[in-house]
Amino acid sequence: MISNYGNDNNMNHKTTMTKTTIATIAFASLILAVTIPSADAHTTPLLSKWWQNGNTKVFYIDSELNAISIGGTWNHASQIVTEFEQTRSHFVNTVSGLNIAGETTATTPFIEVGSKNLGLFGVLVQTGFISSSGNYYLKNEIDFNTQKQFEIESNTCNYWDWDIEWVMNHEMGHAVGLDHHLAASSGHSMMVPSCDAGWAQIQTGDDAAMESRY
Amino acid sequence: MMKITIKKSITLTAMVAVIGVAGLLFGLGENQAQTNYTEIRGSMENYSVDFLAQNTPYAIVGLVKQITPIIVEDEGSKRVFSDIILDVQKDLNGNYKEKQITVRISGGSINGITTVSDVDADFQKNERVLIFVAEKELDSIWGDNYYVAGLYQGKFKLSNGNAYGHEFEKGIVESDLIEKIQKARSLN
Repeated sequence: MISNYGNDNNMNHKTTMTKTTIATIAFASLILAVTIPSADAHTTPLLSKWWQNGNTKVFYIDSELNAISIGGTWNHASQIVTEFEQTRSHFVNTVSGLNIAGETTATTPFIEVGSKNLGLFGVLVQTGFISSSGNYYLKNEIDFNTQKQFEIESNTCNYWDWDIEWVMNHEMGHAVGLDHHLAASSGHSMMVPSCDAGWAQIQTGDDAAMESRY
Repeated sequence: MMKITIKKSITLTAMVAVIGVAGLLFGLGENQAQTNYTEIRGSMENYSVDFLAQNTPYAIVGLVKQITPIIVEDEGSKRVFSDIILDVQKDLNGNYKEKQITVRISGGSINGITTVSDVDADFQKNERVLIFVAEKELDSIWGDNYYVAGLYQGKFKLSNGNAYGHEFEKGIVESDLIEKIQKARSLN
């Protein structure tokens, strides 16, 4: 009898614990669902920093841009600037809260576009987030590798035939705070690490991420 | 009974929320405190093992003995590279004759200055590795230093008879990888 009473007590206690656990999980899930914006699996991941109020500008180093090989020849700075300006407009027109001013002087905040010799077996292009204050970028730097060869409107990313506009889209994505999207389905992000046709323009996942940030 | 259960639920949820928010705040605080922090994102070609085997001078099997971060001034900014010193066990190409080799990678941390690169190989002390090494390119950012050809794609961790790296993320038998490299080179 005593033993049965003890068992009943244990059973009651266990039932209460189970109810409490279930209720806690349900309540916490509800809180999470209400407080955390729904994360679209396609949304491109964001880097930890961004441009304050969505404001920045682009500064071109013509002497460095002249060192970039376009189809095996050099001194194409003005053509590269024209292409990059199209990329800049594409971003500004697509993301309402992003204001990237055009060709300007090197005063913060700004994105510097140039080139470096990054090595024959190095990266194609790199974007470095080299100066920031708190959560805000002050200066980002996009450097094309002078040891690689690019093309204008080749619409491919094969060896020695990299569409420079595609590459600019991807790097500008980094420069405004998009990270690589490792799990993106085909065509949902221009931020997949390996170049593909998705780099041709801002994709839905990228737009969603930038709209959430700016 | 039901009221008690709801009360407990709210208390527990509140505790979890407080811990979460505190963690977030401390996390952000740490992030904000970071200065001299450079983060690099790179776009790369896809370098296959065969391509690297056929186009690089050295394919070194070795053991990481030392990792030394160094600061390099770059157009007014400070960027950290790390020099990786390896005891050379074998150069599959037979070209490298020294007992040790030093390769430079981008990334590291020293004196409160940190550089993080998502495209460079990372190394651990006492790690056994196979790396494809590019020739020195004096005018490049690597200067008078060897570097890993293809960056993260040119490094394979060797462990328990297997090799792990780009192209073989789930691993390949070490001897099979070496055979593949030697076969690719013989076709050169």
